[in-house]
Amino acid sequence: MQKYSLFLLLFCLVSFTACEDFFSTVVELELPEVDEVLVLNSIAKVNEPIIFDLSKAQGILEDGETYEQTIENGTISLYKDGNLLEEIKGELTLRIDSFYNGYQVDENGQFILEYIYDTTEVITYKSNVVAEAGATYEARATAPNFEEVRATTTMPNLTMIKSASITDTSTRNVFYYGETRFIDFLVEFDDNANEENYYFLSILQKETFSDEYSGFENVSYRTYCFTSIDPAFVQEETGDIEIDTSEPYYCSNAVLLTDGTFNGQNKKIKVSIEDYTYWGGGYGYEDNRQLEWIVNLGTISKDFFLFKKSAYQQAWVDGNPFAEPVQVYSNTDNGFGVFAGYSMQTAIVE
Amino acid sequence: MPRSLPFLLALLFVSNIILAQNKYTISGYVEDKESGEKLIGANVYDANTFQGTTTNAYGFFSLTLPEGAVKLTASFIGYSSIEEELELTENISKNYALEPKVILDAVEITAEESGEKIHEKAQMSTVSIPIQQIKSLPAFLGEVDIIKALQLMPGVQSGSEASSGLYVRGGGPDQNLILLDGVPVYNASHLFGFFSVFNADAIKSVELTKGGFPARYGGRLSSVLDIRMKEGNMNKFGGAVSLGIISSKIALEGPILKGKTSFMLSGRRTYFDLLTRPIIKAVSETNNTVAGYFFHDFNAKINHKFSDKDRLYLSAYTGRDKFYFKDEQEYELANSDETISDSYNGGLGWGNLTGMVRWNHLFTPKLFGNLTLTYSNYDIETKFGFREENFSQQDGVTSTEFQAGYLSGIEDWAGKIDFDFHPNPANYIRFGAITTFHTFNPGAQELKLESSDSDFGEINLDSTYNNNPINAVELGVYVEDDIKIGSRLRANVGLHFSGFAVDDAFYKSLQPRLSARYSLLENLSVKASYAQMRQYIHLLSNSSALNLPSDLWVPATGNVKPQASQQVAAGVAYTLKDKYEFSIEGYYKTMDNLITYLDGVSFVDGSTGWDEKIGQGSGEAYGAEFLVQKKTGKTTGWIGYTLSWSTREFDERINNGLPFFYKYDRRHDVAIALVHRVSKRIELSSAWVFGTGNAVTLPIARYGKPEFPDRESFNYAYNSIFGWGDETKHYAGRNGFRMPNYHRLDVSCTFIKQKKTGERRWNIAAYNAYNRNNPFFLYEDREGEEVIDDNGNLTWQSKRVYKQVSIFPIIPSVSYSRTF
Repeated sequence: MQKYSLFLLLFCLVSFTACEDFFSTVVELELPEVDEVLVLNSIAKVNEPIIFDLSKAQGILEDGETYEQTIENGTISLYKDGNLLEEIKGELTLRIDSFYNGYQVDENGQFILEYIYDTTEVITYKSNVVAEAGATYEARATAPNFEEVRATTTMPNLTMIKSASITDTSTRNVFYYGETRFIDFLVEFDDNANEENYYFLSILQKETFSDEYSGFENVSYRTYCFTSIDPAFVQEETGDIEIDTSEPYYCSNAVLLTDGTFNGQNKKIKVSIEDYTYWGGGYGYEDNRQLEWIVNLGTISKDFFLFKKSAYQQAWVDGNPFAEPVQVYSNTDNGFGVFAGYSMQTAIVE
Repeated sequence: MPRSLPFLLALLFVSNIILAQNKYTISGYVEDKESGEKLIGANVYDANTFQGTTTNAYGFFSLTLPEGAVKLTASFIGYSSIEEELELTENISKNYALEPKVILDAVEITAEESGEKIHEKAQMSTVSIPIQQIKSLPAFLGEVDIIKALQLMPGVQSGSEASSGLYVRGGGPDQNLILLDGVPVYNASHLFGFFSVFNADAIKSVELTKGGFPARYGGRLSSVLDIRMKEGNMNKFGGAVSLGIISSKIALEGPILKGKTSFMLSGRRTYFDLLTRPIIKAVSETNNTVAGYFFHDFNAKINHKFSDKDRLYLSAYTGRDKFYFKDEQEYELANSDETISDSYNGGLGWGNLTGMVRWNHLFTPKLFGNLTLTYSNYDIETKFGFREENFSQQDGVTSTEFQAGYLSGIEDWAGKIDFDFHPNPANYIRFGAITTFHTFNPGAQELKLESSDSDFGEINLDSTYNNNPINAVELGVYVEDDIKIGSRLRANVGLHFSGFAVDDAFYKSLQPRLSARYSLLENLSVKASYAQMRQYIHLLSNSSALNLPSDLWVPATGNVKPQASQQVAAGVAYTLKDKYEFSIEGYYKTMDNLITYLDGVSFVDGSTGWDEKIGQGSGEAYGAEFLVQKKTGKTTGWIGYTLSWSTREFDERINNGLPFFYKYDRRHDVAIALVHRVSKRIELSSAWVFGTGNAVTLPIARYGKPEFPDRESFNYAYNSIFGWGDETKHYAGRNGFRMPNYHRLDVSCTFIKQKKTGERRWNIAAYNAYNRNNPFFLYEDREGEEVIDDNGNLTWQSKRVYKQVSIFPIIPSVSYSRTF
């Protein structure tokens, strides 16, 4: 009996030691050294001044946030066709992070309803150069104790929306939600021939609401997922499979298209949205609101396309143990970041 | 491949056959005297002519010798030899029944019992561990595991912690042809790879081939694991029972018709779910939750001897894993007469079903044939659903039910014919053909919706989506010859032809095979081999640390090419004083048309087909394997060391087209396995393993994202355009980072007592005896603490860290087994 007691004691002892804080522990890893390198970023909009951000990269475990890594004393030289256009220095600006409406006290001590902005002071490198469609720009950035970095991009040509209209409105029963309204849109444009073109398309609903007491006009935008069977869409995001949808379902607000199937042609894209406002009424202010649909068609540079696709994918799979991680596209030599361009066309659909 | 090689191989066959004339053949079977079980690989040797052969997988031998006196010895490891003198004047049939030595009577294993030495074997790159030795090694949670034992040999690696996947010479887990009684088993894992599906009590022999593949094998690139089930005792009824912490098993065998027909049955089930069910129910919010996991497997075999020339075997295996949960609750709505009853259910299940019918026929003393029909099915299904019933006086009973499921699997029907031809002692020719009809189901979704609730809309939907099975036919034809040229040179040469028809595509391949041994000294030989392999199926795996059953088996198609490899290996084998065996082997392997998921793709993404989410590329693996093995004495065991490299390279969509280390690239891999018999009643064993950390993809730097000029007015869309968060992570390439090294010690002590019938064993073991925190996976996190800042305020400060998840601390186990 004594020998069995010994085994029992041994069993209890080892079981006890096998507990607490075992499953997850902080580990010291020999991470590769990360060189101090510059990060040059700019998404330039055609017909607007080009604005750069200049910062530095950090080791993954370094303290501090990336927005705190701004380089204040750098210089960015902007070239077009090999000719220096401007040397840009950093300047302090207020960046609007978000806004909302709320009551403020005016100089008369009265409460008024107005937009309230959350802003952050940031150093940006704002150029006087207005981005031209089709032009190629090179940016060279330097800063003390950093090696020079360079990035080049070509601004996309403008693509005009020829027409945007609602072609059909219908209602049908959707599981769980009951009767719902569906709206079909048709967007038409001409693709520029003999070049690779990349687009993004988004459909928004603008809601203007007048507060009957203060008279304040609140404007908000509502984003919409849509379905389409158009093969031009690049479905890089995970498409949610909707139980009542037989067509591919795009839930990004800026879905990418490539012109591989319609290079140089007139293109008509049909998409269908489910109108949330149809069953979302009943809040009592329907009479005070105005609704309009906004169709955005962006023409983007290849750099924008590659960056957008990879950045979105990286964010999408981050923390997902079942997905392969993604390296984000960078066109900055000797450093990190992206220099890219886009143009935007907007059509209002009543 | 040189164009003349097939011709030379053919010439080699013919020339040896022509030389064999005016001789007689002794043929028959070698079997266990007690059980009638056929012995695989037993030696039959003539001391007068120094000619010998070994029995095949069915215990059959054929030895053609010159007319005259013959001094024949039949021997096998663990059995007493039989010697017999004969006068050979005609073809004769002889069966030998060898008597097993009672191992417990002898504390030491002696040299005579150790069988064929490593330097004598022509075949290189093979691993064969006797089942008894596997059972002596420390077992995880008391479960003896064949695959884990093989992982202790050089060139064979485990994947992640406790995994029972095999990674052989830089290859993937799909590149192993795992045969159970000749039937392919597609998923050899229980519980995400922590246990293998093979119940050691039902297994007779295990052999793993890592390179220099004989031509009879085809269809996989990296290894062949040939597992043979017991046939069942022909003479008396017996069995074994084993009780462990998480599972129990039973095996029974015996004669149906004594000396004619035998059976073998074995079953195993875990009961962790049964133990935890009351606890889960008690602690759940509804007190009505049922959840659990179990696996079971079952083996059966019947063996019937019609005559010395004809035998029939029937065998089957089924095994299944299942996770399940169910929750029910009923409640009344406040201020209403409505009563609602909700129930949720879900589960994940996967399993194999295999079956085999085999007919052995001895056509002539020199020609042995096999006709085999096989069936193999592997499937996985996940299900989730809920049902809600509402009852009110006004509306009566209305219900809404939703059930969603995912199904995937592969099914094979195959017919195979094999011949063993022994024209003379210098040649042992095998030839045959196989046809397999594959049905792949890479993934289908099932959806069922029923609603009688008018508020939701009345719906009745029961559909299956993406159910697009792919049918394919695989063909194989082979011929090989085990040739003895003089007393020093022995070679196995062969050709394997395979074809694969799928959709409108047809792939074909002619694969030369060569493995040779040259004896430099009596106990020293050099070996070399070359093998081309072709594989028409792929396993599409996610990057998780787990071997998930959701990995998809997919075929080569018109768009996705079949995998192919070439491997060369060379080595030296040396036996010292009949006690120690040394071997060193080097290998170099190239692999083409491998598949992997594209960057950023998740296997749970069901929006596109599997073939749109992958890229194809190449791989390279090379290394050296060192093995020192002691097979005799009180202490037996081995030390294995592997130095290896394994890389992959795909197009620009994966790691920007740059080569990267394979996930299980392991620079150093060491295993030391020891079994020490203290006395007749006590046996100690231990296994220590060390491996370089697995290659993983982790970010090493981060930086800010660009601003978007329209951010102010399009703020709501910003995340949709650039993804969430303000920072971009920079990775040091795919698998550009190493996890901490892995090492672990397992120990075991077995108390053995001989009973009137059979023996009783108590086994006490500890997995991870020194409680090493081995890495399972790493993740980024923030670790913080509350501190008082300069102004005296309590603030939260955090820093970024990498955390490691380890799943197995020291795990003690105790098990009891009894044979009768």
